[in-house]
Parts: sequence; C-alpha cells; structure tokens
Amino acid sequence: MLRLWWPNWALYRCNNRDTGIVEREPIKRTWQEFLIERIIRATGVSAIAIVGLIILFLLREAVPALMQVTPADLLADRWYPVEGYYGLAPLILGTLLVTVGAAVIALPAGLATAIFIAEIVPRWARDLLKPFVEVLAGIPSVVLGFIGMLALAPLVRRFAGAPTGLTALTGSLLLALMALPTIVSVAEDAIDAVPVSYRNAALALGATRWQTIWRVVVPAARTGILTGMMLGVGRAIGETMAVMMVTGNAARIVTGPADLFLPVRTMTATIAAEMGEVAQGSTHYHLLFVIGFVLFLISFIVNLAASAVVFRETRRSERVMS
Amino acid sequence: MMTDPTVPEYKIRIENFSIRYSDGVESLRGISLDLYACQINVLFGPAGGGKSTLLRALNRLNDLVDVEEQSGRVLLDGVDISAAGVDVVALRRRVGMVFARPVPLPMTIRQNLFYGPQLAGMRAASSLERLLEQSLRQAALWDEVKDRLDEPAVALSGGQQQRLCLARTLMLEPEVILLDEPTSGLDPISTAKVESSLQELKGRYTIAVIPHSVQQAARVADWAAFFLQGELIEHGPGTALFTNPQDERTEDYVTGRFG
Ligand SMILES: Nc1ncnc2c1ncn2[C@@H]1O[C@H](COP(=O)(O)OP(=O)(O)OP(=O)(O)O)[C@@H](O)[C@H]1O
Ligand SMILES: [Mg+2]
Repeated sequence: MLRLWWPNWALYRCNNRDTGIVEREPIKRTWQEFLIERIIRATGVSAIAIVGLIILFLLREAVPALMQVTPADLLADRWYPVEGYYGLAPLILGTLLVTVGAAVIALPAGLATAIFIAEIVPRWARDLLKPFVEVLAGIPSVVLGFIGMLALAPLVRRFAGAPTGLTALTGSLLLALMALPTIVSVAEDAIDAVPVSYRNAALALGATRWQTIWRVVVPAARTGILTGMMLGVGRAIGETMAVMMVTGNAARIVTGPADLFLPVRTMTATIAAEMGEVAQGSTHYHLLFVIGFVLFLISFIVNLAASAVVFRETRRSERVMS
Repeated sequence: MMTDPTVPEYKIRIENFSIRYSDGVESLRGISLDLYACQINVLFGPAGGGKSTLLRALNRLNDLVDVEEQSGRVLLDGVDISAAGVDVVALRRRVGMVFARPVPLPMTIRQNLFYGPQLAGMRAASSLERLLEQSLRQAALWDEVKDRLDEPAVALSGGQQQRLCLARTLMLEPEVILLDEPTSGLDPISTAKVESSLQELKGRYTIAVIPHSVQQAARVADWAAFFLQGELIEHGPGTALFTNPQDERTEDYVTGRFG
C-alpha cells in the first residue's frame, strides 16, 4: 500500500535546460494532479475490494449449507425448509419467469418510448417528458408494490380469469414498469446523440422518417440502447419488495409460460421473507445465502453477457476508426 | 432567353426564392437562378451566404429544420417542388445529395450502396450488383473496394468514404446531384479524383456543387453563381465570371480581396 502513495518521480522534471543540472523541483500543478490520481486509484481499488469482500462473505455463509444438503436435494422441486425440503428449483424458475416476463414487456416498450421521445415528439414536449420519465425511476418500490396490489392485481384477475390477481404476470408487469424509466432514459440519450448528419444522409437517399429511424438511427445508437436495457433488466432481477407484494409467494415449480397466471415465488422474495425468522446458523439460514449467491451469479452473468456485447461493439468501431 | 444559343437548357429554375429561419434572419432573399442540365453549376461565396440553404431547398432537406417562412418557387422540369403535397421521398430519389463530411451509415460498404435502391423497392440481386459496379466506377472507387465490399464502410479512408457517398447517391440513378463542399475534408489527390468524377458525370446528370475554395470553383465551374449574405450577386458562365466579373463584389472575392 505504501507504493500507492509514493511520489512518482517521472512527474518531476529537470528545470534547468542550460546547465543540465537536474533539480528535482515539482511542476506547480503536479501535486494536485498527483493527489487526484491517487484518490481516483484508491476509489477504484476499494470498489473492486468491496465486491471481492461481498463474494467472500456470501461464500462463507453459503458453504456450510452445501456441506449439509446434497446437490440433488438442492435441485429438487420442492422448497419447504421447515420440513427439510431444500429444492431451489421453484425459486430460481420463479425468478426467471418473472424477470423474463418483465424483460419481454419492458424492452420493446422501453425502446419504443425512447424513440417516441427522441424522434417523434417536438422538442418542448421532449424537455417535459424526459424528466417526467426519470422521476418514475425514483418512486420507492414499496409504493409501486402498493399500486400493484391495489390497481394491477384486480385487473390481472379480471382479464386473466385467474383465481387470484397475485401472479407472476402481475410481478412481471410491475417489474417492467420499474425497469422502463431506466431503459427509456439511457436509450433516449443514445438515440438523441446520433449525429444529425446520419439522418440527413438517410433522408437524402429517399428513406422515410420511419426507415431512417429503424435502419440508421437505432443501429447507430445500439451500444447505448443495450446499456439501458442491461441496467433496466438488472434492476428487475434484483427487485424484492414490489415483487414480494404482488406475486403471491407460492413456491411452486414452474412448468411453462402458462404459469404466468399463477402465483410464484422469487429468490429475492424468499430471502427477504424468511431471513427475519430463520434460526441463525441453521441449514435453512445458510441456504438463504446460497440463494443469495445464485442471485449474484445470475445478475453477474447477465451483466457480463451484456457488456461483452457492448464491448465488442466499441472495440470494433475503435479499430475501425484508427 | 431560349433564343440565346449559348445558354443551355435548364433543369432547375429557382424563381424569386426567399427563406427565413426561425431566428428571424433572412438567409436567402429573392433568388432567381437557373441550374443547367449536363453542366457543373457552382454556387460559391463567403460563409453564411446561404449556399447550403439553397441547395437543401432543392431536395427539401430544409423541411427538417426550423424554417419560418419560405416564398417563391423551385421548378424541377417545370414542376414546383417547393409546394406542399410534393412527394418528398420520390423527389429525393431524383435529386441526390453528397455532404461536406462523408457519412457512411453504420453498415458494410455493400449495404451502404444497396440501402437507397432497396428502400425504393429494388430487390433483384443481379441489377443491384450491376448498379453497384457502375456506381463505384463512376465514383472512381471500384478498384479500391471491389475486394472488400463486405467490410464496414467506416473502415475506409476519408477520401474513399466521400467517394462511397457519391457512389451511394449514384445508385439511385438520380437526375440531379447536389454536392455541399464535397472535398472540404479531403487531401489534394482525393479531391482531384472527386473533381474528375464530376467531369465525367456531368454528361448524364445535372450537377450543383458548392466548392470549398475559389480555386476549386474556378476549376470545375461551367456556370457559376456568386452568393453574398443571402443574395445572388452574379451568375454567368464560369470562364467569364472568374476572368471578367461584372460586379465589383464578385471581383473582390474572386481576386481574394475578401472572404
Ligand atoms: N438550421 C438553421 N437554423 C437557423 N439558421 C440557420 C440554419 N441553417 C443556416 N442558418 C443561417 O442561414 C444563413 C446561411 O447559412 P448557410 O449554411 O446556407 O450558409 P453557407 O453559404 O452554406 O455558408 P458556409 O460556406 O459556411 O457553409 C446563416 O446566417 C446561418 O446562420
Ligand atoms: Mg454551407
């Protein structure tokens, strides 16, 4: 760590050209730059360190469960820890169902909204709509959960003809609603940043406004659009409160998309609901950390996949620029 | 006018044309100008003179910006294209445009070239390929890219990109080609290539070009129009206008006393 704070002599210079005498006198601004550089480096290092510590902590608490429960039991399709059924499959599938459902709704809707705000409405309307959408991102999820229970659930029950309105679909709809502001905001910025020269070029070739948007503007903005989608879906995976309030929390095994109209239970909701009541140090307790670790892995993979796509895009365009 | 044998047939006639942007500045005032078929028509003059504005009126790209007021007429083959209700998409296929900075769309070279014709509903691969080779040859780019048509268009050099944009415009087989400072970012060799392409193309097309220097204007102009602060000062055959300008302001500009 000491090395981190040692002055970097390369930043000092010989200040007497005539005599060639090396006086190691710092350039005036160097100390500030030196300090700033170190602060930035320390921040970056500690961010990585914190992530590392989180992983370590999760593993430490999760590993004992893996000693006590066989992998076959973990993959079984029944989660009822009080009776010794430790199958995680219903929870993982529940999370996947709700999240994929949310993504299927939110991604097209978010892109369409971003295009609408960036390309279709007049400028003054954009300046009004954009902050409005962004405020939506700040609504606490409990409040959204309330709205979901009171407004969304009865609608789902009526239209899906389900016995209860607290279903996976309700969760998906609510998560989509939460992911939308992020997707819209980031994607809109990206679309808006596409140079006007692209539009002119396409229009001058006889493209209609719609063809210009779809074949030129959106592809040119795809990196930003993908980033927005990744952030939005990331939020949906990790969301707990709202999902717990509207999905009904029945740990059933999911067999297909038809289960959208039935209650499910997600991993996040399980942890939140059971952590408070579980005996510390019990198998059940350690299992909740296993769930947490799986959740961490899933969002890690989603992020990795998305940034791999984004990274490949930028690498290619960088190579091409030079 | 028709009686004068030295004046060629006009393709575009601009009649008493004025444009005011929403900032209140009148960018073009009462312009009347003919652009002739099979000629290189040069619009030149100092910055802010309204040359680009006029060029963009010819393919209605001004529709996109805040034009507050527009009057007068622009006739293409005798039909007013500045009126409401004109099929703008069809017009832009007849009047192609190349911009100052090359804008390769984020696709491969081939896709860039096919883009316009495909939008126009052309699907047959054989005619697309034939058109592709013809356009690239006309733009003096064929030899340089014929083996790399499926690479991204941004991988080309600036000069190649600009000729690609020219070829892309030619793919639509337009009647008029507008070029707004097409060589402003190019080195002398690429510039010479673009200029010589223009000389070959003028046999078949009506060309309107804004050059990026007076020298280039004098080099390529069959006919030249001098613009100053939104007004057309002088219009005449290139040789006459550059060697013996009638207006003092034209003379000052051409001889480099200002601008
Ligand atoms: N989109 C716009 N909105 C408002 N004013 C504009 C717009 N485009 C051009 N103008 C104004 O119209 C006038 C003419 O501009 P134009 O671009 O046609 O000039 P130009 O002759 O092409 O100049 P340059 O040689 O610099 O390209 C300028 O005063 C400019 O400020
Ligand atoms: Mg201009």
